[in-house]
Amino acid sequence: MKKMKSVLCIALLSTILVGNVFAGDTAGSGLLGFFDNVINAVISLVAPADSCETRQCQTCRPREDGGSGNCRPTR
Amino acid sequence: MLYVKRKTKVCGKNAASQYLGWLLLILFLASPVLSQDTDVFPVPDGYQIEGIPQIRKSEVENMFYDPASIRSNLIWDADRRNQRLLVTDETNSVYLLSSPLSKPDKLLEKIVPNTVKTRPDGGSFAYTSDHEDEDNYQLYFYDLKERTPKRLTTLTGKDESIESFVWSRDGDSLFYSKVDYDSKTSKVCRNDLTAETCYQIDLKGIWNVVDSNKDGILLKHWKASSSQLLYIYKIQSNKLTPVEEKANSRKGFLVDDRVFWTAEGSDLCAKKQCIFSSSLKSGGPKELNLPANLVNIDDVKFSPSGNYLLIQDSINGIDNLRIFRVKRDKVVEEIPRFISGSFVIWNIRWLSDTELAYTLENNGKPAAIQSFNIASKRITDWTKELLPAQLEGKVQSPEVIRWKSFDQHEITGYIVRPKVVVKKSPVLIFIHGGPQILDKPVFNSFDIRLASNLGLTTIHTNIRGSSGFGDEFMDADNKEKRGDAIKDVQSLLDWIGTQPDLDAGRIFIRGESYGGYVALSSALQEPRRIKAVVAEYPLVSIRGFLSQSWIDEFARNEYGDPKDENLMARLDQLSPLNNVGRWNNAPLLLTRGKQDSRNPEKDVTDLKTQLQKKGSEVWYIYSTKDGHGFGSKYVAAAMYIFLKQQIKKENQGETK
Repeated sequence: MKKMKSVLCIALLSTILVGNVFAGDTAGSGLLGFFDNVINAVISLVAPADSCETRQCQTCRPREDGGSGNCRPTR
Repeated sequence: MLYVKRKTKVCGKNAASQYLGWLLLILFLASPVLSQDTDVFPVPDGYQIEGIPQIRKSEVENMFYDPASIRSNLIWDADRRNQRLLVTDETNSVYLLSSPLSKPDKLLEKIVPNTVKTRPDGGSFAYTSDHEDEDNYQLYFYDLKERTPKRLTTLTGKDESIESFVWSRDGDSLFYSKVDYDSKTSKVCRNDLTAETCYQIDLKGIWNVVDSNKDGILLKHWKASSSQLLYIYKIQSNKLTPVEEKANSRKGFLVDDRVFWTAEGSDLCAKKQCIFSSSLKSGGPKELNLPANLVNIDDVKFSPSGNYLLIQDSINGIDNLRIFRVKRDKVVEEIPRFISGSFVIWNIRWLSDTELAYTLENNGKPAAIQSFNIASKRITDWTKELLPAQLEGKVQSPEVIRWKSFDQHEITGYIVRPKVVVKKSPVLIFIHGGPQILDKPVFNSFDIRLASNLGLTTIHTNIRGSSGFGDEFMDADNKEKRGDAIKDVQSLLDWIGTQPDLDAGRIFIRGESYGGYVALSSALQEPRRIKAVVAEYPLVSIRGFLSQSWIDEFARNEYGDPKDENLMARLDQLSPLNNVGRWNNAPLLLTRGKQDSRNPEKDVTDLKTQLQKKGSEVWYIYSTKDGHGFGSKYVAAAMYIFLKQQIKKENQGETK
């Protein structure tokens, strides 16, 4: 019985501690870290160079850090 | 010490340990709930969202991948003197690529370069960027020794922008046009890298600098997409002379004392397109003898000695590179073609008289840079693309599709189907912005992801108004003909209905900028067949668009005169703004950047409010830090979840 309680106790503490660490780290550098370093894959293409003014047709913007833009050098 | 004691007692037999035990149990039971918060995809700072449910990271994490698992490089410009390249990648940074397959050396990041041009001596380069103020480009100089950018220009007007520049032939200075969108005038200026001098010539409208030689500057006046006129400006005499009065000249350049230009709609040209040249001294246009099978000339460049002529020809967005040997201004033979397969090709540069560098990509292949030596017939890889494993083999090869519109005009696009289609695939129609641009099958991991994760087929369209199919097609949506572009989309819906692998009951539409207008308008006209809409930073109302101060002759030629009330009233009927009664509650994902100066914000917010009041489902993303063309991981994630939900909804509808 005593052994069972010890096991239960260790299990509880482990779960809570691991859970806390996971939660804390996730907000800091866990999953968020992953998302900070991934590429946003939205690329659509525009080729405005010779048929349209820049102001009318250029939608090339860099995305957030590590992200991809819809820019293509065209000139 | 106390902590150790308590911790010890947790497992003891006294009452305190029992309370602690209960506490632990509660925490244990609550931990799954608490840990759910960590699964929330964060809304970026500066975003204000409405109607968007909380996005779970675990649901969208397969949308993204490690940047190290992809390599996609494109040429900005070549340094012929030192046989090296300035290149970019998916982040739009500028790198120096010193030799084939060497590691690109990052020079600039977090800029928005529109054009990058190497100085003739190769020791530096110039570029334009609107990073500081959106849509108002400044000119910068970058010395490769000092490795720091220097801004050369100061914009003092209300709405000025530098959108074109060229180096002088000796590299001592830069020529550029300073466009004032408020007064609708342009100035031609010279900068010797320390100070600016603007010439005393009065240019009404929007003008670009195209090329220069020792005493002249080649200029382009943008009257309309089908009316681009070239002029020679002689600095000494301050005289402006048209190259050709009537033809639409998209390309022009100077070689020695001759001006070359492409011409469409010219009285001198019996074909669809011609290339002419003329002496700057004596005039007298002369047509270059070209094969008749050139369809749409995208680029023209002579080799440095003039012995070879490169022509990039494009058919339905697929590019061909053709090299011709030239003798005494005449094409004498074509070099056997060296690229096999269907690719989109960007920014070709001559590295020497017999070698040229170019970028190749297509829907399934990230961009890579190669060079081809005419003498040795050898292809050299300068960069090698890298494709993340999770993107490999997920889609079928892109296929060009054609359909007939209401007036029998043939409209084209390309389709990206999932590798495996179970029964019928839902369809996302994509409409590009512009409209005078061409949607080409470039590497597009978003299409691949939608196909592999949602089984969604994407159809990229080049409806009337797009470039690449001739001036008549480009003008076929102008002014009162705007509704015909919407009919092209309606005809596509008919075409989808005839395809055995596509589900005509699950069609969604997405458009950006002007494409957002077409998407919204198509959904208004097709309340039954279009099930949901994604409109990114859209133009909502042509009346509202034309009311802005920056609107110039080019825009009026495309969209119409805002004083023409009959036309405006007719165009009003195409927009869901003020027509929400006809909106069949199709769910809408709408984005808008606060810094967007292209389209009026009021139109977007009015549309959103009207639809919300009507009870329509609206997912709204408003970024206080971004402008026209913005996107982000959050936008991508929201779009993915939005489409996923719509597909699911329609599935349920089908089973009921």
